[in-house]
Amino acid sequence: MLSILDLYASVESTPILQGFSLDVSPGTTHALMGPNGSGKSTLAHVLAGHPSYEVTGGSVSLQGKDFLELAPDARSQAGLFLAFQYPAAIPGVSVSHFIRLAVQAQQKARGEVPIGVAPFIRELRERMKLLDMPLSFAERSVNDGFSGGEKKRLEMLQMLMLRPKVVILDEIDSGLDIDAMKFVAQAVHTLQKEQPKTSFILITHYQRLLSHITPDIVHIVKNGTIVRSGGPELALELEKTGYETIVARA
Amino acid sequence: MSKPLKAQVEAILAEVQPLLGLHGGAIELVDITEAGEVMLRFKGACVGCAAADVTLEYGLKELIMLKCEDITDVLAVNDEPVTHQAPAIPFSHAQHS
Repeated sequence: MLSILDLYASVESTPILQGFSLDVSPGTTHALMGPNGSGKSTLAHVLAGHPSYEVTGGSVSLQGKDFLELAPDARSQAGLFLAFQYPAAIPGVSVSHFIRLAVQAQQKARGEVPIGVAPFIRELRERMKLLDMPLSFAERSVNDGFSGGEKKRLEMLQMLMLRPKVVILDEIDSGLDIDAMKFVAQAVHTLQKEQPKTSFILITHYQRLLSHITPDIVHIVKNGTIVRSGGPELALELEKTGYETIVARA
Repeated sequence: MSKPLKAQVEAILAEVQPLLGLHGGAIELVDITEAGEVMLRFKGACVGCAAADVTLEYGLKELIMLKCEDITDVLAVNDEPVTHQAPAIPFSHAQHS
């Protein structure tokens, strides 16, 4: 589904990704782990089309089509969803408006009839209940004055409403308490059940997220490339020994 | 304990009533069906106004449905003809004919 081949990318002329390759099949869950500065979040930004990152080599395709030539909005319309590590606040734009306009824009881009307000709100209310969000949350401005947990719940709400094909969760677990982590896992499991072909890339530092969402493959990233891949047990090993030992063995 | 549904909807309508009044319009609650549909009637200058649909679709629906969980839709019962229809002959053509 998503194929990243020998990708090189720089930020302000500093090379970060250096020959990064990853093949993500439909319905699989991949965990990317690695020390700070190894290039995990850079990969997320490059895939989303962040203008500060320059791709200097390699290719990315989604369902066989060149992904890097698309503008960020077209990447989203093609089915990519990135949950931000630090979601931006948009004062004056309500959660309900924001998500409805995003959903409708994607439907228009796919040539579908955009969803009406009433069915949209009925679905939004169901999704919010799943994430244990009060209804009043939908009337608040996007991320304006939100707690860390509320911001991450809103990311999950967007994911459930947009129904993407490829989901990247960039350190979704940072700053989350155990209860909030369970809601993240619940949202991921719901989407996995509803859309078994959706793939997930989980960027994380900690095994604890992976105890709630079991990955099919764990990759260790260092110096902008994957140095080791393995099953879920690799994350447990990493937790015990640390990156240095594991990477030295690679 | 939460207020009965009808009172909740009436309270929301009371809040928007002055806004509609500024345009010479008004709105009343006709019924709430067993399926949870709020039936409203536009009155005054709202009747036949092209903006009434926008008020309903993008204002009242969201306002009511995000405050009352049991409401499944918000609809207008008005069946008066729309008075702001486009002229049958484009204005510029009509002038020259």
